[in-house]
Amino acid sequence: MSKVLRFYMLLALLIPQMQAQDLTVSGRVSSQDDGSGLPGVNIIVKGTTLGTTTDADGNYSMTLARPDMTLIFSSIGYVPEEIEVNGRSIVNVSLARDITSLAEVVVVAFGEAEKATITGALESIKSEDIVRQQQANISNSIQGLAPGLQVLEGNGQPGSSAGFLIRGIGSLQAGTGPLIVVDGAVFNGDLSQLNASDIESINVLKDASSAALYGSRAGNGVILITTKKGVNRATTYNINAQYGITENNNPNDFRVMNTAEYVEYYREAILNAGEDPDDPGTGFYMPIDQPFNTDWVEEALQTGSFKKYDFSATGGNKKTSFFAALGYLYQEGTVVATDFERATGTLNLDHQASDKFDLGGKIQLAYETSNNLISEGGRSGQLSGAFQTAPIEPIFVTPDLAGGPFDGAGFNFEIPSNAQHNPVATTIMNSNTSETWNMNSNFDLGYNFTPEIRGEVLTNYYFFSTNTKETIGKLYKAETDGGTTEEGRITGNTFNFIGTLSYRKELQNHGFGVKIGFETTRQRLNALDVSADNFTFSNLNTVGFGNVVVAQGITSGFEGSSLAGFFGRVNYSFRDKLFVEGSLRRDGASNFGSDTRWGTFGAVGVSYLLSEEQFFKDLTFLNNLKLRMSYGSSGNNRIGDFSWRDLYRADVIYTTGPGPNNANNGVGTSFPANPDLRWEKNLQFDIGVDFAMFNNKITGSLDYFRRVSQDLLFNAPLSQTTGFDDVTVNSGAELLNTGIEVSLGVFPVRNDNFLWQVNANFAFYNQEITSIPDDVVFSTRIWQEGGRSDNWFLQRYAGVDPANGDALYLTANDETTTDYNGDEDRVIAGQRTPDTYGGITNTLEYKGISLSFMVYYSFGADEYFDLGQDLSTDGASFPANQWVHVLNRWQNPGDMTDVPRALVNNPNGDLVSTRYLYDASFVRLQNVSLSYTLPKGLVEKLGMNNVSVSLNGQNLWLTTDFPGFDPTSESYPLPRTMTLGINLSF
Amino acid sequence: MRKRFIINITFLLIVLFIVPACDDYLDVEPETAIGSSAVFQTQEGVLFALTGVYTRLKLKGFYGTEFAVIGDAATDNGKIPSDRESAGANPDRIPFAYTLNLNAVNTSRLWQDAYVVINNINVILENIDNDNNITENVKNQVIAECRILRAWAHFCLVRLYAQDYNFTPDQSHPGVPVITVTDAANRPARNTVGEVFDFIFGEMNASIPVLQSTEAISRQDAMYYLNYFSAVAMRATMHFYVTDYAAALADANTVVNEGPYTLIENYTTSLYESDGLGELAFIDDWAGSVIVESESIFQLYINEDNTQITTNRSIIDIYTANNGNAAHAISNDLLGLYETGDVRNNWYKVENIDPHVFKYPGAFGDAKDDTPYPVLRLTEFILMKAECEVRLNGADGLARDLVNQITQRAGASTVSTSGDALIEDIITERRKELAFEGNRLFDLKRLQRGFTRVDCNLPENCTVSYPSDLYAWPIPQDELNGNTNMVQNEGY
Repeated sequence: MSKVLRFYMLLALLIPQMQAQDLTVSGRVSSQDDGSGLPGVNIIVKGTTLGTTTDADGNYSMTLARPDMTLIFSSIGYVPEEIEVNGRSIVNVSLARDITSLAEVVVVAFGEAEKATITGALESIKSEDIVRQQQANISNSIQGLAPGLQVLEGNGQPGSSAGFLIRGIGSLQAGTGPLIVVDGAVFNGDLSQLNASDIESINVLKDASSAALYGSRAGNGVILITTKKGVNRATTYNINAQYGITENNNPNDFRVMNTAEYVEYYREAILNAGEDPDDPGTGFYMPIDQPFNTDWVEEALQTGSFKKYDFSATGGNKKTSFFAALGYLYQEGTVVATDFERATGTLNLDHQASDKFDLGGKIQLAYETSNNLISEGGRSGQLSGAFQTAPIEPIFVTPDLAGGPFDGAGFNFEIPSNAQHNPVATTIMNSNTSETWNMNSNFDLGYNFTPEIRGEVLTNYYFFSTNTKETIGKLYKAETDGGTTEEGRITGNTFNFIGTLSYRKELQNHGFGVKIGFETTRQRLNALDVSADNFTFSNLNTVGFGNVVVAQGITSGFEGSSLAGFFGRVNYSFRDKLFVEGSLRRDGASNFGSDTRWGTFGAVGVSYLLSEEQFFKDLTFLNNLKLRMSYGSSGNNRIGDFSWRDLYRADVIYTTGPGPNNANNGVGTSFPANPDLRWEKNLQFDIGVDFAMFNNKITGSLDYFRRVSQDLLFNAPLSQTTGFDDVTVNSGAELLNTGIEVSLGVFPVRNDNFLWQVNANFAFYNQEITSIPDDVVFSTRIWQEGGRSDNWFLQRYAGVDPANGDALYLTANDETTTDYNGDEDRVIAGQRTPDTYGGITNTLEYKGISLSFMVYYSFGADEYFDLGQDLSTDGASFPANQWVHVLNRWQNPGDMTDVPRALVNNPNGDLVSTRYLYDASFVRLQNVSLSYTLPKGLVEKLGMNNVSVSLNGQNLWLTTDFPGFDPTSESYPLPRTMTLGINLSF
Repeated sequence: MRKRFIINITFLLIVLFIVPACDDYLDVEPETAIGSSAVFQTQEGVLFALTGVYTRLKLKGFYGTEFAVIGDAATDNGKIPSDRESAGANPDRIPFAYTLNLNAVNTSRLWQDAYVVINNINVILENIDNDNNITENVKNQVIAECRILRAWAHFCLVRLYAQDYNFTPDQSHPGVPVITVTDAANRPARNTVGEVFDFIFGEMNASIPVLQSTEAISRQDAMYYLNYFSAVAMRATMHFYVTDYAAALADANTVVNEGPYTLIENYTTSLYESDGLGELAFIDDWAGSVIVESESIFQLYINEDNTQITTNRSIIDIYTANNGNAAHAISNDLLGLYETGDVRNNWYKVENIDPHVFKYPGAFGDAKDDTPYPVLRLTEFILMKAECEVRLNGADGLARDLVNQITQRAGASTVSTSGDALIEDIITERRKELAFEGNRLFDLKRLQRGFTRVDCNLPENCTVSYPSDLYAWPIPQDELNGNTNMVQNEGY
């Protein structure tokens, strides 16, 4: 284009009135794969903000000011095309699928960006990968999908949220979980409130460059969740139904003893102690003949059902688009009487008021209710108690007298093995329920001051209210308070406000972008907790029907925090191959004192598309090669709201007798103030490469990172003579996390009929405490220079003395001893997080059939088998039931075994040592999904867009040396889930 | 164009207005706690802080559980029930108090909790002169009570963590740090036992006259708070422990002769509905939410609820069968000392195999897990007076009369010995009468005696001979971790 022409074009833009020759252009945008029309393709007139999108069939029509304009066609997942109109009235385009996805637009901090321009380490998880893993909680559906994101599945309770770790453990005592952002606003709710079907994408920001705009709170990484929005096309409806089951997984056949084994074991233990098991006069009477053989664990477990129904509608026109959805989910747990139920409703609206002004809003409502495990541990727990209860004890006093749910008379409460707790009665007579209502709403405005300058405002309001209720039935005879109930009410809200102003300028070889903004977050939470006991009626146990016996039966709680931040980001690109990004953020947080609350964080990143250079273009096998590098800082303030303050607690009530009249108000010290508390800091360096080769058949990326955590928030021990145990400080300790993350995508076969895709990701991590002022010792953990922060610090178990059956231990100096010490003889015996983990997903598609399976592995972590210790005490916990493993006990001199002899009231049983520490490495068949999509022709005859059926299985198979149900979740094992689903779109 | 202008301006205004005044926005006030400076602005606040000190005497390491139990469990009075040895293994149930398997890691919670009391007192003393509307009399009384309670907390610490007063002739053996200022950075070394007692007596002597002349704070039940007589009783205990029998006698005389306390003349018993064991006979004055009221000098009501403040395993849970889990019982060595007709046998009930301690059967019905605990009561000072009278004045007759007030109401034989034998009888009577009130260990230390457990179900520590490392408990590891100037006791 000559300079003169450019001048005229500019003139034409500035003075549109001078041009009167309007031209209507229309056409169809189709997919190069199968020629089908592509809905929702963005069409923009180059150099303007004018544009439209295609309808459901891929057709579009728009008016152009001049016939020589250029149209840009873009759609996520396709290579964009620029086409000069040249006066034509019909322009048909066929878009190629973008395998490398470099042009893909991804959600980044406070905005979107083309993947090619990104300088940091970012992982994207797509909605189809999330919904394939049918789980009540999305946090459980993204395990293995992103290298660098570790999902800590701790609990099989339906609906419960898993924790996350991004790039290792970067803090000693402050929070280690990432910041979660939903649709642009920091989310403080529970992820169970989101319906997986409503989610468009989940992006994981791992390094400083990509996360720096969230600077203050991004020290542990950021997870960006984006929900679905409306598109400009005819309204389409989607119905999805899933039905399935959940069941308990038991890879190593873990079980406790039956009556024959139990009697054999304990008779021997009684005889070894010199007592007579056949003498009814002692406390050790245990005859061989027993009338009962109760499998308490079997009674506690069940096969549960899973149901999920979703309905959504989406559509719109040039001005307004919407997404509306309703969802319902019900899942039973694998422990009897536990379940989770959720109903969700979502509405997303976007409106283009003019070419300058747009606005949008969303509202997400959710209602959840669940029956939770009654006590996760201990004898009153429905599952933990079931393991301990002896098989010789019957469930009912007399089987014939089994009463209804409110009749305690039928249940047997003579259960010495479990402190009189009857786990079956626990399930029926006691309860632990919770109910939550919440709303997450956004309202946003955008205004284009000029084509280059845009301002945006986002307000977000989140509200939740949770009621919890735990009851022990009036007739539950193991407790003697005439029934107790504790009811809690928690309400919380978060208000976010974000304002940004951005500027974007494209010159021939240079692109500039600037974004500045500010953000405020205000969070409040109020809790009220009331307990009562001594109920009049066994079936009326709300607190109002009992006696509030102590003044302290009512407690209240409060959390409150505010954060304000200013941020800016600058992007520069050179010839679309070199990209530089810099960002800066200054944040103030209410949980630090006024002199130290402001912290400044920043990052720089650079990426270089080497494949655009001539010398790489000669390497024809190489489709794409990009080098990335970033360095920056981010913060962590996840400690208590008020740790820096000098506070008295108001609940130090001096009770001088029963009842509220004898409660005298008092106040007292709480914790030592530290007005110098300040932000914990993470400094992270990341270098990575993205590549695509052999006609995009092999794609992948490789990242190395080095993350240094400083000024670690830390409870430093004090002399107890000060009246305090410890004080929260920013210690001189420093943590170093390093790691390598690899992701690979390979298409071994890809043709018109058949597609085989392998996606794999692996992460390798190392962690070290590079400095710490003084060693810190916990009961099973030690922090010292050169060590990891997540070690196991235990005395080593050395098996059994073949001569007498006594347990042997090692001293710190590797000497064998029978003297358990558990203190100075502890050594570092393992670590709690894995050295490496990852997932491999195979996807096979043939015509309408798609089969995908994902294997997840985790190697190098060790897990302490608490349940194993509780259930193998060598007689110390007589008469509690025991793990069958202890049947391998030492019996006679010369026996070679690792289980000591049985001895009732064994003073040396139940000792914490490496005896119960197991390698928790595992390989899990995380997900298998088989689906069939009906042929398009057939479906269209039915008046539909899409019909598919699918069979999904989650956590189907597991192999591990860990002897319990599951190495990641002891108190409520992760279930196996299998569902059959149908999806209709019309 | 005009509309566009309006939108432009509106947008900018929204952005500008919502940018908050940041520092105000970032000041968030806690709603369930109060800034220390606010507490001491009013007299009411000062009194709330003083009440909080009393509450914290009931912390778990203090009278809430451990210190109340150790004095008996760690001697020939205690035993772990033979059918409950494993239940006792839970550290919550302080099995080490009996097994004497002491170590710095999981024993010795008194250290932490007594210093919490001391620190709370120091905060009050440092802030009481802040600008507030407190009256002079109330202020003087608050200061006196604080100083006495602080001395008492030091006295409890030095009794447990140091050897007895006469362990070295010049009291130069290590005691505990005397703390009179608030300073989180403080890393104190140990004061000698002599220095600790100089401090204790100095504080008591300075403060007791104030309480004698001032009663400015109105309170519902006197026995739950300090007053002149309970302060004198405390000082008597201190003098007695350091074997200053003359000073002990003087203070005991004040308490016994001038105090408002009267000995209950006749013990009566009734049947009470007990959890799990049906109806049991208890001495009426020892059952319920207030015990031996007329002879109570200082009493605490130990409540299980509100666990952060007091305890989740009160002495009633430790002693009395609660789901068959009682962790400590009475030895037959002590039980055998009570004659068959002694009413005090009602303090003990056999459950399963062993006799258990039911001296604190609790408040029944209303609050089954709560129980009153007598920190100081009249009989201790009657017996103290008797022992001192024999030791100092050879007043055997007077001493026998005093002791026999106690044996007679219990329905036990009277004491008729003289001289050293009478002293022994008085010591035995102390052991019987004050059993499970936390005294035996400190009597043995005062007398520089070991003990032998005949009824013993332990592999070791059935006999402890004086001197013994077991008479000075280990300084907690947490203290050593946080304080490089701290020196551990011998033997740990």
